Amino acid sequence: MADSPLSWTAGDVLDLETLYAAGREPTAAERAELAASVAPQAVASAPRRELFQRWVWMRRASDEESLHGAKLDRIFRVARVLAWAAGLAFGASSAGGYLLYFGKEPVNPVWFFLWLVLVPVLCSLGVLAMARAWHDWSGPGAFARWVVGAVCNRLGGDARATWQAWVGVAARHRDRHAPLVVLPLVGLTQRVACGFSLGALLSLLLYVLGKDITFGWQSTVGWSAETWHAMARGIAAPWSWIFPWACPTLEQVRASQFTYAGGVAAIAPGASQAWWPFLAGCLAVWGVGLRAMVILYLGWRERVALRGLDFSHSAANALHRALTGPLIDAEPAAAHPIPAGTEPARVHHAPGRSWLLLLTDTASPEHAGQAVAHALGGAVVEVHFIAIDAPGENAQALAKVAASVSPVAVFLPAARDPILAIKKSLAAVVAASGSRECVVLLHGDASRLALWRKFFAAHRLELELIPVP
Amino acid sequence: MSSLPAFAVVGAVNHGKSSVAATLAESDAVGISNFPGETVVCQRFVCRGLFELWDTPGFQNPRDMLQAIGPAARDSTDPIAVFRAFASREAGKGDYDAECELLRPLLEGAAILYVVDTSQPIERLHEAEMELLRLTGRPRLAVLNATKEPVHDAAWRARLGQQFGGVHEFNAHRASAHDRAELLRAMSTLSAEWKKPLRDAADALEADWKRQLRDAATILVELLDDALTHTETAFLPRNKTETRPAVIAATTQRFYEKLAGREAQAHHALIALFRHRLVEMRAEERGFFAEDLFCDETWKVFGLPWWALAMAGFGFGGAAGGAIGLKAGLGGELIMPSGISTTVGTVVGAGVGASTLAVGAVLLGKKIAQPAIHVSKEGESLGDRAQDAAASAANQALGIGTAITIGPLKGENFPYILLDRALGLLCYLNGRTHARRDQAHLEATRLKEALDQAGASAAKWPGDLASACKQHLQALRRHKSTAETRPRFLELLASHLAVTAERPFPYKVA
Repeated sequence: MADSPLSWTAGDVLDLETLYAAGREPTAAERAELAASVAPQAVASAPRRELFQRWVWMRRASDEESLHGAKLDRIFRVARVLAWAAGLAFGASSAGGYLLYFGKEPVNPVWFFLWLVLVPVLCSLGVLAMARAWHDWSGPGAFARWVVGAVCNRLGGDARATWQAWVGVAARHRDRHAPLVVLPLVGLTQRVACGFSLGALLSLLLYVLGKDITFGWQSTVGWSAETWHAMARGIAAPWSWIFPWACPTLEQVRASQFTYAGGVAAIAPGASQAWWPFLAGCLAVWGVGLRAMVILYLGWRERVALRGLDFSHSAANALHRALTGPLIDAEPAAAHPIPAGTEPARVHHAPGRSWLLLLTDTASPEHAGQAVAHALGGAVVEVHFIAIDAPGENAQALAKVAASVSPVAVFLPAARDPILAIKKSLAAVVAASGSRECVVLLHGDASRLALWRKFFAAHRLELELIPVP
Repeated sequence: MSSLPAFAVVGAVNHGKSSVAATLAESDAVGISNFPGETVVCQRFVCRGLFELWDTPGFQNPRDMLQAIGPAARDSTDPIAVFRAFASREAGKGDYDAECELLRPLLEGAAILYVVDTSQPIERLHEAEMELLRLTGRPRLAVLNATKEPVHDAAWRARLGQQFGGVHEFNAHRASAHDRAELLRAMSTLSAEWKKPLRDAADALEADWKRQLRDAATILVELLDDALTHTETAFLPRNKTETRPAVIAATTQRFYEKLAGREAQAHHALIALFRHRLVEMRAEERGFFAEDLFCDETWKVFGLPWWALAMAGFGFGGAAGGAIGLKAGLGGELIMPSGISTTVGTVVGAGVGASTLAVGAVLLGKKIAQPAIHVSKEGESLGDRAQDAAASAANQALGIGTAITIGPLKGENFPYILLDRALGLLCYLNGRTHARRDQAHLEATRLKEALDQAGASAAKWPGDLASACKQHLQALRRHKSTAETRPRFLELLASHLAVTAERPFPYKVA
């Protein structure tokens, strides 16, 4: 992992967009690793660009097949090297071809300057102007889309669908990422151009070192030596004040004029040799220097664009939430559903029998007696109170139950919440009643009957549950 | 347990302990059951290094427990040691498993949030619970969970006032972000040492809520951006004009589906933002926007617009001209000084070729690729007819035709209806706490109606927001830059949502 998480690359952006599009979310392990790598307890306040990039790197390490950002970065790096190499080769061969000298005619410095310096510089300016005009990349972007689309639309269904989805994503994020596409591509062209000038410069220097080349200008329209000298001075202005010998003097310009009548021999050797430092200066300053500045400027713009990446759209917001987690994070809870049991079968209670009634704390004996008569068709002969939610306090009531011969009815309010203490109390009543009938009359809210039935079944309470008003 | 301030949410079964925890944590993954006693293990919640919260099982046998350890705890100089001994003695035996589990965070230093349901009367078991909690000696705050009719509120307040350091009302089913922050602030009063982290947590919670609303506003604005500029294009070859109605119908259908899909995507994003897993939108048979459609036809050659055609001409012309020039230069056919002929030939050839073909492509390409639906003019000349025949032949051979573009929707009300439906969902989500366990299937149309009833629809927006919205919509529709209109609209909408979202929202789940 690199040390500077703030320096994004186009590959990082591509991978992040791919992850957005695929709806990928960070796993718990990734979140934990992220929290550990940023700073403990500082994940939420860490800059988004830092969090996102760390996550992209994590994903890239585990998901190389679907994330191609690293490859894109590598391609760009290789393309830059190739651009330099191609430029160097093209420049060296162009200048070499141009400087081929057979002694019939001198090498014309004006043409050399025109084709190897001025035209390439104009091409560079044209490319930059186009890049600026197509800032949103809508023209070239749409054109490139059409070219690739024309091919992809002839592919099978899946490939076509993938392509169309990609186009949709690219179109949506055009504003966000256009500079990241435009600037590197323009940068490549400028590397070719800079390499071209450098190659031409090296070629020129090699030639003048190892060959005797005569430079001489010629003109049909009759431009004077003063005119050419003035132009040369203007062109050489950036360096002539430091290296005055790198710009031919008026006398040297005069002495290096070629005419077919005079032939090459008429050109003074000193005057002829005064041109190559000028041409080398032109290539170094207007060719190499100017492009180098443009390359630096484009690199700076690219870094600014990468630094200014906007992570405030909804997909970024969602990712940030997923990475930082909720403010209050719940640890997984173990589920312990109460196992279902079987409800005891309903028993027919013969009418006219005498019942022992166990009342809970809040019930009235009159109400309970009516309920017994209504639900069981019997009468209450004994009433005892039971602390239904305090099994340890019922020794006296349980003794009465054990001593009685009557069937037992427990009058239980449905509003109470079923808890273990109630289960224990009821189990104790069942145990104390022996083999006699034992029922629970659940009074109150009928909607809670299902809850109590589930409770009885889950705890295997062998008691019949009868709802009463 | 860590060194963070810790709180154990304790209470009788079914009084809403887990609901309070779920609402505070905004998590519907917290186990909440109507069946008492299903929470048997503590669940821990951590608030970003600020505090811990423990959801505990409810008391199952507090009266017996009080009887078992009450006298010893009262007489002891270290009552917590009595509880510790009780827990180690009774753990796993079955009689007091829930009590042993709920004591776990208390024995490790947690303060107590005692949750009571004020719709239920005070029973003796509640008094036993309160006494047990008092005997632990831990800082205590009572929380009145008023999710139902608080018929016993006064009695509870009177009793809790005697036993607890503070009493705080908190409706776990209706608590807003502000209410949750207030509960945290109330918790901060239990210990001077814990004041700062708890207050920081309360501030973070409110900030997080505002950020949530801002994120929601972003989702709404992006929905508008996409919906108002969405188009669907199909290519109709000129030699297949008879399929035009079918192509238009299929493209229109696709247009509606994608628009509906985009709206559904925004709704899902809102639901995910508020972390409600039990809420979903019902799919609609036909979008409300299935009217008011704008259809456009543009000519294309191979689906290529004129400027792309010009560029293609430029490229092909340049390459061809360059190649010819190169060949001429290499062959020495150009009279130039040494080495110049190749460069000059290439550059000049490329320039001439590019310019010629670019101009030719635009002029002739457009002429050839007339719209597929061609209406004959009165008095058409022989030349026109010949040209048309030639164009038809070219179309047959090259697949030249028409691009049919469906959309974007132009209706004035369309964006506002779209906004209101999403706003309605947003208000519902904001008002629904995570303690609720009912599955909600929402209908966008009814959400809009509810929003209208609440007086929170876009039509009722304040002037500056309405104006910012209108400017943004105009910029979108005129394909102008939204670099200025968008941030302003977003900012005002986010601020407005903070006001709107707090209003009661009269949506009843069907």
